[in-house]
Amino acid sequence: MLSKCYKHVLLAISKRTIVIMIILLFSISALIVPNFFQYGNVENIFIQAASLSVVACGVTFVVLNGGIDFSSTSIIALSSVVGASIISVDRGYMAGNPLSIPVAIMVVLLIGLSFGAINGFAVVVFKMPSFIVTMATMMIGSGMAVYYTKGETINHLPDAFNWIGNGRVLGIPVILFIAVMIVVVLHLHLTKSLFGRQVFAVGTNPKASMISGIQVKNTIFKMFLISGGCASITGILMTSRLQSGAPGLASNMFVDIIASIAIGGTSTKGGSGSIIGTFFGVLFLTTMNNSLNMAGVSWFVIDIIKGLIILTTAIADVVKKEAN
Amino acid sequence: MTSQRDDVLQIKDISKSFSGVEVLKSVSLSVNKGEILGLVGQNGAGKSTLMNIVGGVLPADKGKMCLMGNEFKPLNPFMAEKMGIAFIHQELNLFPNLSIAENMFIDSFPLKGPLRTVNFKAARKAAKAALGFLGVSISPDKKVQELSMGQRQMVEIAKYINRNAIVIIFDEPTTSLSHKEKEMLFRVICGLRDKGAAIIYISHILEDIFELCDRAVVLRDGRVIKEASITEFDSTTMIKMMVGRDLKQIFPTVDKKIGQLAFEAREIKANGVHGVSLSLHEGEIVGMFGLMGAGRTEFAKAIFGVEKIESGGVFYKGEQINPITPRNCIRHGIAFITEDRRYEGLLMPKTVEENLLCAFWDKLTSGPWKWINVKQEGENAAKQIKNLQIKTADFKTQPVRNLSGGNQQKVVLGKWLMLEPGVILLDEPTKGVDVGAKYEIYNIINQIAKNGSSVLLISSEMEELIGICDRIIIIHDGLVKGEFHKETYDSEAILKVAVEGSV
Amino acid sequence: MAEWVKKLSQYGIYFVFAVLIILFSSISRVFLASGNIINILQQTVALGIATVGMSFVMISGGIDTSVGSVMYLASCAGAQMLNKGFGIPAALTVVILLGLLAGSVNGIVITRFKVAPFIATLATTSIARGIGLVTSQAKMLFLGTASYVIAGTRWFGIPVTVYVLITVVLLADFFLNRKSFGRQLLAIGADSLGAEKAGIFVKRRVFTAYLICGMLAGLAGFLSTAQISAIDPKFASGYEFTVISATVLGGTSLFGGKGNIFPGILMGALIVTIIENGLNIMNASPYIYPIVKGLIIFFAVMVDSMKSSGEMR
Repeated sequence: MLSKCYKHVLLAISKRTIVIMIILLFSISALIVPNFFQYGNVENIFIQAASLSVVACGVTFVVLNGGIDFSSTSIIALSSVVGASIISVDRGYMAGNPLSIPVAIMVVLLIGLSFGAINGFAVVVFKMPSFIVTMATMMIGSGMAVYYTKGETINHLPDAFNWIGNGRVLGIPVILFIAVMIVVVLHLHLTKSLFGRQVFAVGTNPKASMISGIQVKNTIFKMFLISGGCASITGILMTSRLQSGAPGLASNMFVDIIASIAIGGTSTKGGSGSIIGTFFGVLFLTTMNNSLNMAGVSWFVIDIIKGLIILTTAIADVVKKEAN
Repeated sequence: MTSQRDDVLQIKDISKSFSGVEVLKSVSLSVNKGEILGLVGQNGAGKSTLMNIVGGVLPADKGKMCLMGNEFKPLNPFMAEKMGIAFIHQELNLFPNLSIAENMFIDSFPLKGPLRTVNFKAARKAAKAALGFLGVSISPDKKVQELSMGQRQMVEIAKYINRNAIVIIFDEPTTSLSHKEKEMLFRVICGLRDKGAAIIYISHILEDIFELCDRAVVLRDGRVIKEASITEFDSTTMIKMMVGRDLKQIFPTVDKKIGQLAFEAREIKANGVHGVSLSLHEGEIVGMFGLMGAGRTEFAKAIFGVEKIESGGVFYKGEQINPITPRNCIRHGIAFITEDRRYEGLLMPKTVEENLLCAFWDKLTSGPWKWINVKQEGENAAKQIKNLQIKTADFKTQPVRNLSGGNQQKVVLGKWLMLEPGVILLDEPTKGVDVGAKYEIYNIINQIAKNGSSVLLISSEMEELIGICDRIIIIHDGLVKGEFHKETYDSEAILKVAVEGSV
Repeated sequence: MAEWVKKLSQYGIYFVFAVLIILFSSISRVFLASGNIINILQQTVALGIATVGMSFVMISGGIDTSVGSVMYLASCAGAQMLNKGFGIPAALTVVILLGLLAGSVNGIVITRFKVAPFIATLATTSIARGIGLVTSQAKMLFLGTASYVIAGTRWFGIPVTVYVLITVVLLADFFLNRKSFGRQLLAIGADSLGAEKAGIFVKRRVFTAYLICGMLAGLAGFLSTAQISAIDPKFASGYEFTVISATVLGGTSLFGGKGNIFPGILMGALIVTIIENGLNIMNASPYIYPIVKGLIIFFAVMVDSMKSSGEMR
């Protein structure tokens, strides 16, 4: 059983150039960047990658249909403030109540799923383009987040909650456990479940899929639900790490999300891609972020690089498709 | 021969093959100035291919063409157009959001002034003149989206008037026209002829050919059967020529029994279908013949739920299928192999395995999470590949688009056969398939029927229907106009019903 | 298609305009004061100019989400040129060139490399803003007196920037309705494959549309800094969204092939500005703005989508 998993992992790794790129990146960073391997820097990279990977893997489902989900960042922010407002020790609605955390998590998940449902409904029923719909819901979501807290952060969250983002089990950060677990579940779902198969079929050719008996509308709707749900989970993770609910959380995250998905090999035209690919894309991106940062490169120059990455991978994707 | 008339367009010994299949075999014909030549033949006779060569869409493999006495070898549609060929396709290339005048000059507007602005006045005038030439008076400022189909067709023709067309080709122009609009079109075409244009008119409505054309050419299996003045033809002989006796395909036979009533479609009305009823028995192979646009594909799509059905019921083993959706039909055991395998039947960039299984995945799941049994996936795919003898290098990795036409069609068949359907609707299953694979597909169809399933075989190839069907139904203009049983198959009679709507 | 939807989209906009004016003027007397009207006009300038650019791209069937970042880049460059004493004409030239550069990058990636417009322009958003931030070093850029000249100059009581808007609108109307470029762009938006078959140079026309959009975004950015004393690193962040709203409200379809400059663009830009202005005057919580904007664009596009049969992606 274990050896089968091991073989699986090896196979997945060998097929991907992204892994080679990560290894290269690590090596170069180790040489150029001082202190790269010190003070828990590498662990830091993985912790940062944890949150990003959950939301990026969720958005990957939408991208597999040729669409996009801009609202993820706002869902993170809204989840953060609403969740924090419930559990906060001094001002929360359920302050001190032992059930506050589970309730908050459920409420927050509901928020993510609702946004996903609205997005999905608009795309499937009204045939609105996903980029506009999710841009609109992003605006509404982030507006709601800021309105909810009047721009302030919500602090003093219970220790039990903060443990999620900052605690450790057997020396490994809890947040990493959770993220890897979610990524694995999503990956298995995409590659081994009925829904996963249908996602690829619908993303490739919705008409042919419909004729083959696949419920196209339901499938697309579920993709948006997953994206929304993952975003709200990410909200929980990030809020816990930050130890406060912030309405501006994740506001700059979208470029990272898209860049990770693109570099991870998922085609923006839909029909092909993978969760593991996105995960490696996230690793690459966070490593790059980290090492460039430590090498003294300004954050906005890093942004330029990310934009270039998105451009090159999108162009490469088209060139690859034409070559076939 | 007849080279001393003013032949505007001369076609000499044109041959063309697609993937080893000869579609045009040394075709020669000519059109003169001030003449309407009717081009007649069944589906697959080679009419469109020939016109595509004239129109610069395809190159010929052998032979040559002369236009106004000079060698004519258009490399692309633009060149053909510049040299004077106006090819009026069935699908009009108009922009509904622009006016008539704008549509006519969209790629080369008349300009005026130092700022090179569009000279709308000149465009309007020219448009009005062109429309007037056709005897049509619509304001050139009207947007195309406000026009009826007939009027739009006029605009399409008017586009070419302005480009000084020497040869005008009409490809099945009357399919979406009302009776009045058709009369107007004929008046216009005759007018054009009287002014000297050389016109080629393709149609399956023999009545129209006789009304309109001066001469006619009958094509069959890529060959010219006869080219002569229209007076030398009559409806019966024309049909006889279209059908012929070229039996090159051998059809497998099978011992089977026809059982009870399995499937029924009652009074189906949909877009292009005006009240068709059909019944299929176990073990029966029923053919559906008709000309393009008669409503066969529309019928199949309607009963499977791919297109909207206006009224009528679909019943399987007595139980009504409601609502009519592909998923529901599949649940009841009905399968539908569409005509267009590229865009509706297959997921082209995906692997053979994925394509074979995409309707079967539901059956391979287990548990609440619906995990797919990967081992069974591979087994089922391999079994199907063996059964149908699909030639693929590695079914788990080879994308279906790299397979030959015949193998692609087998993949589509394989996908549906996995469901072990009781009723199979096949729409042109051997289109674009080589002779060897065709035989294999006929065998497969026979086996399906032998196992007790019912088959509806929609096809434009009379031979294949006569070869393997127990019954042939003929659709004309959205209605069933005739039915023939195995013992009384008569290809001429069948074609006559398809073409004229009556025996 | 439901008749009411068609009528709504044609005349709805005037109706909405009238309703807003009545609504806001009845809530606050300040709304129709001449000072506020001048204010509204000034604010509409940048939005209007950017909306004109976006219209060309949308008519051709595409989208440009990099408008906000290009505005930032242009305003940074322009401001720094002015601060260094280069004078308005020089600054303006640089701004226009930068806008053209951004537009050409978008144009090439979309036409030559066939990348989907929203991904391509998403990438250029990061790149353009990043470059802008390099010039400003991510700090607030304080503007010298030269920028006040732009804001303060009035001809016959109306800010000079408004005349710029009028000129741009007239030029745009000219190119869309009187030059073959505009008519061909409409054809491309309706049916790009058919346009190719009809002999139109689709790639060139679409490229030009993105050029125009970039250039006008740059100009809009430059002019809008006239009203403020400092350029924040987050300036115009997400502004493309406002521009898209104004464009769609003005009658241009996201699906291509439909759009008009007069009066569509102006109405769209005016309505969006009036809503913001009105909410401001009402002392509505500033946190409401994005929610209102989001809802507006959602419903505007919903109506637009119901009129055409798009794909579900």
